Amino acid sequence: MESIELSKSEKIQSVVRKVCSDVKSSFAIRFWDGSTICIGSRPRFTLAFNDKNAFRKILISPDALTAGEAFIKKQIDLEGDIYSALRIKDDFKNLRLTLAEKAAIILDLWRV
Amino acid sequence: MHDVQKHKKQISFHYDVSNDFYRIWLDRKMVYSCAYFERGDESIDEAQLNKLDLICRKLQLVPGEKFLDVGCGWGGLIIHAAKNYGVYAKGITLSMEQFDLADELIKREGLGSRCEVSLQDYRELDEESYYDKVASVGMFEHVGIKNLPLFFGAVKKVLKEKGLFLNHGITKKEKWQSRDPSSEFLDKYIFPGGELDQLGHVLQVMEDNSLEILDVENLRTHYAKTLRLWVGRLQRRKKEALRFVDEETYRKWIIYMAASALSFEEGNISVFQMLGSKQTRAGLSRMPLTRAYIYENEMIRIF
Repeated sequence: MESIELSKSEKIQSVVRKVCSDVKSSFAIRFWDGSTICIGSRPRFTLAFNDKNAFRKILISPDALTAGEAFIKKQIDLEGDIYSALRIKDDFKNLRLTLAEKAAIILDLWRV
Repeated sequence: MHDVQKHKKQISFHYDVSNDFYRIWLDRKMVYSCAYFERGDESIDEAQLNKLDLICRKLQLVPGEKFLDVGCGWGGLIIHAAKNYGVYAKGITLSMEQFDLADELIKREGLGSRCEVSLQDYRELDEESYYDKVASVGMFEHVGIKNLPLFFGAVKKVLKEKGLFLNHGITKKEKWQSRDPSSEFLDKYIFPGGELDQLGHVLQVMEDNSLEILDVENLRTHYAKTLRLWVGRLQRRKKEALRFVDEETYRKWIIYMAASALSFEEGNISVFQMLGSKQTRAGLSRMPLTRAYIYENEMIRIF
């Protein structure tokens, strides 16, 4: 049972690292299961995903509507400096996942 | 009538949240628009007072004049103008909460004989060539771009010839796209029906309605500072705020104000004071030769 839990977290983390490979901001991400990863070396804020579905939605369409909605509905939390947190939109502006990549993410997360 | 009802609902959505909630993080006079910083380190109370007075000086208010504020909020400007400039001031708003509090504050100040607030849409203004001066602060963003001719037409109607109009509000660097995700977010959760126009187009519609442009001032830096102060105050008083609104409302205001602060800093949006004069007949406006009038006769303030 324990090893399955571990592989779930690992799977999510590998998806996130793939998505964030070109991101310049440094921050921490905390997942609904409590696991945390760090992007960059000096995290300025923590982005907490309280909900798996919101996480999936944001990965598929990382825009102001999806992220804003998730924030006001408490599916995500921003801890620390809110301005630094909001600036990650600039990082994701250049994020253009191909359809195949999106499908792969959905499938990966489906199994989680 | 349908449009007026819809507009009223849209305004209510944002402004009838709870006066107690707004009181927590706005300044003492509850002025919900860009403040004006003369030194840069002023408190929000001082900077909002600066702004109210700046508007009165730009409008060159003189005792006895008739002054209208379209979208008067909780009455900060009409009360300031009636009290310190001796004008007969009327404010209109579509928000019931704003109307109730403004009415109460006017009475509390003993200004009942020369200051009033009315629950009214700008399209219902029927006084013709009646006002010497008109202001509208942070309101035309709610009107909708296609309705701007209606709005400025209404201002033209109620203003006397050569009367001054100060339009203060937010503009956008690029053309408004209603399908843009951030526009959709604003429309759905924050300002239903709100649209930001480009400065050039706003000025053009003013000119089309016989409002000669006399002066335009960019206050972008001031709004970024104002928003950062509001966000900080609301964050520090979150617990108190949650006594009056739910967590979702608190989060809506935090996210929209913080994101707006960044947008002003980045330059995607801006805020301007546009001073115009109703000029339907040939002849010079009553504009002084220099801008000195704006900085002379500053109100003596006691803190």
